Amino acid sequence: MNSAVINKWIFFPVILFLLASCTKVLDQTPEYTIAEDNYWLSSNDAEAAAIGMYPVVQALALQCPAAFDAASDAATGLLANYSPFSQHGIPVDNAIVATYWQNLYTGIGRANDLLKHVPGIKDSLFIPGQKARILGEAYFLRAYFYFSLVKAYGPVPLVTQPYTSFNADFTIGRSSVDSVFALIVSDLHAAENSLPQTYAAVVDTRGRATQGGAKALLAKVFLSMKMYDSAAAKALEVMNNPTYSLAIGSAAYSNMFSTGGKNGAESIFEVQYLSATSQNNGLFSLYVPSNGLPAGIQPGSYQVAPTAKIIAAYETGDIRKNAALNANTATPPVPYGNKYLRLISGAEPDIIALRLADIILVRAEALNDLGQTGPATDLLNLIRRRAFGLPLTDPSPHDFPSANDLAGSYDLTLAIENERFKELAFEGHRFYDLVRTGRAQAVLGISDDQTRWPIPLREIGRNPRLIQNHGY
Amino acid sequence: MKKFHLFTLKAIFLWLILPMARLQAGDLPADDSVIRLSDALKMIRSHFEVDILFEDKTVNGLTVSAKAIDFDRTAEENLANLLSEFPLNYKKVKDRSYLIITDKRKARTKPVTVAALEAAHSPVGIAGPEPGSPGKMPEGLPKRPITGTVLTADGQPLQGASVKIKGTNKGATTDANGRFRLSLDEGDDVLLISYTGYSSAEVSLDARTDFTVRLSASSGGLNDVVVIGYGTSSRKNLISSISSVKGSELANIPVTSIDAALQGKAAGVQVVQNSGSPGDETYIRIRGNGSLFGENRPLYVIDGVPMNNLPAAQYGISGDGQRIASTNDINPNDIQSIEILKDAAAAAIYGSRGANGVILITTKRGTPGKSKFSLSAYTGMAEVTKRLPLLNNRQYVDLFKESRANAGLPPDPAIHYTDTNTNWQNAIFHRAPITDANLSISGGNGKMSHYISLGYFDQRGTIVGVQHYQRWNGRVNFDFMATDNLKIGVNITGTHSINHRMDNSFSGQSVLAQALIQNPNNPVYNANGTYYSDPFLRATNPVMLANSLRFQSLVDSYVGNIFGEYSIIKGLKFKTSLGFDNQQVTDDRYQSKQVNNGSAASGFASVFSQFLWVNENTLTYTPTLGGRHHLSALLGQSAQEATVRRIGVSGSTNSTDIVQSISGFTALSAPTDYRSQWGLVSYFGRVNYSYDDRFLVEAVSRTDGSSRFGANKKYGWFPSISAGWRISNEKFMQTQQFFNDLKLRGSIGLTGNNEGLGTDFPSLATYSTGYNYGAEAGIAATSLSNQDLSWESTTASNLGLDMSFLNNRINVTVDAYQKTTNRLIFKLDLPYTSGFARTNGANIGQLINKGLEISVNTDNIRSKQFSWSTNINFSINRNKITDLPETIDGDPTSSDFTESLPGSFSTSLPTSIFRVGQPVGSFFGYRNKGVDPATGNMIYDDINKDGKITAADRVILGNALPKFTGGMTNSLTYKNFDLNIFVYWSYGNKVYNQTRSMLERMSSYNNGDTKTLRRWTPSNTVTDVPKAIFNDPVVPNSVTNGEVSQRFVEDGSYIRVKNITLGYNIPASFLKRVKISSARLYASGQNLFLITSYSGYDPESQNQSVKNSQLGIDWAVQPQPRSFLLGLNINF
Repeated sequence: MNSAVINKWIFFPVILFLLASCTKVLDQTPEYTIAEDNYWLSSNDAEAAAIGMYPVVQALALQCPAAFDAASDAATGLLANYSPFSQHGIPVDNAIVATYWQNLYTGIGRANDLLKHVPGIKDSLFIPGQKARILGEAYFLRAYFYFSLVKAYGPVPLVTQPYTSFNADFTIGRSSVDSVFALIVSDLHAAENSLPQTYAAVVDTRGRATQGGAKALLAKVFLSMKMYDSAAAKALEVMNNPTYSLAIGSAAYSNMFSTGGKNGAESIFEVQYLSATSQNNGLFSLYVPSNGLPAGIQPGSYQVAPTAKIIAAYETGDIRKNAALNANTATPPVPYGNKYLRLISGAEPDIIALRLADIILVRAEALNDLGQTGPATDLLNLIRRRAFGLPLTDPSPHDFPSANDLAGSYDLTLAIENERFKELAFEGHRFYDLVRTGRAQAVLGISDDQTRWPIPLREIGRNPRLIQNHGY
Repeated sequence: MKKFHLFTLKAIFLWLILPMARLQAGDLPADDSVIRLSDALKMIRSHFEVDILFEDKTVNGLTVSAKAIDFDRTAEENLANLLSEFPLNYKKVKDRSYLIITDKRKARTKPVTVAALEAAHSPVGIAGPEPGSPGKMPEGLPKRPITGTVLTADGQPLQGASVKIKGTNKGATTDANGRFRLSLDEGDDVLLISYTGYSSAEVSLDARTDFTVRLSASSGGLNDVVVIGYGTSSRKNLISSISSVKGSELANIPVTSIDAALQGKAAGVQVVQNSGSPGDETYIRIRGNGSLFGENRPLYVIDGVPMNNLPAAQYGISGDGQRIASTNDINPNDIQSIEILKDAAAAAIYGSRGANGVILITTKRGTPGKSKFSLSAYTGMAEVTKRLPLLNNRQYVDLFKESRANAGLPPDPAIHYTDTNTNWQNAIFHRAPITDANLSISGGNGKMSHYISLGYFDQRGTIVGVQHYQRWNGRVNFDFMATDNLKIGVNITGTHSINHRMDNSFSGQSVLAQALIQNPNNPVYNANGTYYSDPFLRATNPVMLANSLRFQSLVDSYVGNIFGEYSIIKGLKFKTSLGFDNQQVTDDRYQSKQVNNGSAASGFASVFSQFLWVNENTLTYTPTLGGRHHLSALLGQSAQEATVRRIGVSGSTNSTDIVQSISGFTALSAPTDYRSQWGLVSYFGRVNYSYDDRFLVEAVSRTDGSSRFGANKKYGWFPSISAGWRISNEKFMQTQQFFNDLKLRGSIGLTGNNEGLGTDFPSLATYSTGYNYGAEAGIAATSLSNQDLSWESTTASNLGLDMSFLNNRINVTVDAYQKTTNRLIFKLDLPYTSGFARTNGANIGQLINKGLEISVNTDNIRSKQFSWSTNINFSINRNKITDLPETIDGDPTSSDFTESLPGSFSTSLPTSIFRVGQPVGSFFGYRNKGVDPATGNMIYDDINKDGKITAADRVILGNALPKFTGGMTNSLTYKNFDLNIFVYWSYGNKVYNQTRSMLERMSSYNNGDTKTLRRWTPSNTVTDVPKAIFNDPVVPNSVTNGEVSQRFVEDGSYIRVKNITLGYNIPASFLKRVKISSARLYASGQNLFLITSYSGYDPESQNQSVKNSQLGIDWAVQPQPRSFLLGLNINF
């Protein structure tokens, strides 16, 4: 009996032990993802967070250039996805409009998160300048995202701090275009002061945020803000940067847009894509028809077709025509935009978001607006001579003013506009170029309301402080 | 002993213990003995010091349980109680003096002894003569020994059955072969045979010396032991809502999973067999759908081990609607019983996992005695007999040409009349064999007992080709009395299964869909014997697909536990158990170049494993109080941890079909490596008290802490309370003979649901890898934190009534319940400006299930040659979403959540909606107003009158949930034959017939059904089928003729004769010669008849059990087959 009594008492310490030791199963740490508490601790975290913003830039491809091209006079949306843009009758629940908004604010969220946390990281493994560069990338991309938002929607909510909890107040009103531009300019100033001119690898120099990229974007922003002095000045800084030079000659020019000629010297900010299965942009499917293509080119679904206007815009001998346009072997041949060809091998083209020719024309336009038509004409002619494979410094028959200018006009403003149309065809610039110069109504025949996309319906439902754009 | 005063209130303790002490000192025999009525009366006489007069012949031969005497009650109460079972009554002749008289009113019914009442069951399948009426009882059989065998209705020997001679204390227990031996005295006339879980039998003794008695399984029997969470109870004392299903009802049914076998067996459990694909997951809901995005399936607990509730395929191959269900890994032949805990009182002991109900699976154990070998096997054939009416070769060409012409397109020269007219349905369906074989050995001695089994199940698909499910099971259950006080045991089961699967969905690789849309002018094979392939790749040859697409899941599963049970003192037990559940699923898929229509071959391989350990420690205290008080208490603690891992990779190759291993592929996608884990810590207790077997109360409490939830909500408390009143034990009921049992019970409690949140870390803000740019690795925030995230909380109340009447021939259980799920986990959409699309989950919203369940068991006929019993159950459940977050204040539709199925074959995709005020499972689409005779196009109702048909014009079209469901089982035995007929029905459920929408689309190269023959043409303008238009809609962005509309919503009500089994027990006299104790042969038919107005293959076909947002959609799902089986059970 005694031993039985002892035996039964043994159980109680055992139970107490079990009770005490089991609560540790409640302390689980994710291995598949990273809990917030375990992040923002090292230089590696900061670097990875910087990289983690770029997939948002990659994800914009199907909205810009595609939707903006479809809305311009260079292309027409053929199927349900892009025809609302061509018809300038975008429903408020349009998926592309919602996705663009979502992507851009996702990117802004990541940039805000980085800008909040990286300054506080104490890690001796940061190499000199690394932290500033990482912050610069976030500033650059945040500005890039906000500029994209303004171009599409006009005034937008200005989110500058990351949200941290589900319980936060997510309602936020729209800020004026001016205040959004103010943030963009201040971000880009911060970026140009902390970003390097080049990275160790060429693909980073073209593919990531750089000082030149910040200046180039700033030039375009100033032009939009009609701050022509600043725009011209920033553009000049870019032009003087030895990192960038124009692609010379027909082969080199076309090569810029091919999978074999990525990250050429003309690229300032080139969105990098890898292959059909990893980091792809899918633009080939929109621009390329389904058959009759040259060997090795992946057929597409042909949703964004070139207009007769862009096909007719190029003069004979303009090397840019073959770079921008092609036609298949069907009868009659189906023309298609030629800048985003995916190869059957899976090779995927990049998207050049900023390149030197654009910035040269920005300066030309800014100088023209400042009344400096001479230097403006010189820059325009620089682009024209390159387009015909002529020496850049020698006068040529294609120089402005030329008989071949649009409708026989000798208007430099129109000539620059038309040059941008041809030079930057299918690169997503045309629609906003017409909007910012107030020419959309005349050229596209659309109302002022139609120059802005609707605020996505979903957003208005979830954020009652948002007010829809006029006309929607 | 004194220390244990702490465990109870001292006052209660004394109150309970003192009378017992007095009894022990006094004159009563041990509680459980049977004593003569005359002796009992004498005890009353001496204890209460009263006079009791009776004639010996009046009470001669009558016995009562010693328990029936209760000295805490008055002498009169005791007399009433003692005599209540007999045609006797007492008369108070003067103060403290009573006369025992025969009561004529009570004499009308057959006298029953207390012992018989305790057994309380009908004699069924008695081999001997019917017990005679009192007057005819054979008197004075001579002294002699007798032997006998006790068997189940299907011929299995029953070990441990109690055999008693009526009116005496003499009895025996059967051995492993069901044999017993007794010595008769003169005057012994009736044998009482009883076994827990079976109807008791009375056998009149005659001149025979060997008796064979068959007991049929009873459900709802009052003395049945019912397994409850962390313990057992008896049916008569149960005050929560629990359905029990015997293992014998689940075995020998040609289905893979025990879920499917449960269909129609228990009220309140809705089971839908999603498809006829072998190994497919079954839809099971206990008392409705309690969650929108979380898990809706119950928690499964097998011998105390909570099984992984995570379907493996959630992280594996998408499975196209087929998931690997862990319930497939259990061999139904090993199951002793299944208990389904339905109300909060029953399930609250499982706390945060109890809200969807709990299914307790108890496997068989050995009992001491000679080893018993049991062999059971069946084999049979399954076949899909229905064919959808499709167009023939010429009708197809006509339809196609017309659709081109209507669209203004030139004819396609490839489509023209041929002499080939392939019936593609006949080409893919075939008769498929199904086989099941099981061997078990059980037995033991005084110290040890064992149950060991092996099983093999083999089912081929009813579609030609590779489809095939094979399962090997093994089980060892072992008990060992290490000391007099310590029992240790092991339960372990291992399963290995191979499932060669087939796409069973609306994907382009669905064999059935490809067969239905296939041009009948195409042959199956080319002249040279190779598979025909449409040169334009408009459809894939389904026979080729069925034979060539490799899609295999290999499952290894081990579930079990080791336990020790120590009796500390009498009535106080400590039990500890260490359990585990380990499942590994290896999926691989290979699509050859041929399958991929000439593109590179592609493949996928993944290994998924989940491991769960659980440690549970319980103290149970069941003091022997005697008297009218019964108390039992449970205190427990549990900790568990589960880990999940999946590694997968896919790729493509142009090289060879011989090597299908991914390592030989040329292009590989990024491999995935998913890891996750979670833990649960719990403390629980239960107190059950009953007074006088009349008033029963029980309180349960559980506290669960889960790693999954937000820092602010780590722990939750789940209490329940229930109470019951056994009215039949009241004094005023003693004089009636109608009710044998009448019990009213009620419960209310709180349970939770912590499954199905998508991740194990739903409350954390997390950063994820994979946001790479070029060659550089990036990380980005993927979720916002929600520190308040917690389980869904269900408040459930239940009111029940249990009745037995007409000598226990009819048992009725009625339950009414309401389950309100609060803090419903809903994916709250955030404004994109937050940087996120939605939260992982937030506790918002509410839904209610309420319902009524009735089950009725009747013994219609009990005669010595023929018996017939019926079990019917009805369930009614009403589901309603009562609250969801509005994104626009005051606009209830702003909380709508819609979801469309993935799909193809140029159809509009079925859409479901969650809307406040509506039940789960609502179809959402356009209301059509018929075909416009002028244009031949469908007219849709412009609900918002804006002149356009847009998404805003969609309305709710119907609901997939049935209004009521039920099952009826009729069991008949005649001599050695037994017949079992099981019918299941479902009423009021709608099915969205997406298969038909595909076949009536008429806008592509798809074949159509014969309904399209009455399509609109300029000469046939008044019709319900629109015109054929190729590439409809011709005008972009306009509605098509095939929009989701009520045109494709059909009534899915059905009555199905699920199973008819006819068995024959080979006579024992014959078997003795071959040393077999029993043998039964049977023939069985599954899914024999179906009565339904549904036009598709099978109204049960609704492939997506995974998501509540995709219920009731028939998307070319392989229908359930009709099967015929021949089977054999042998025991030796």
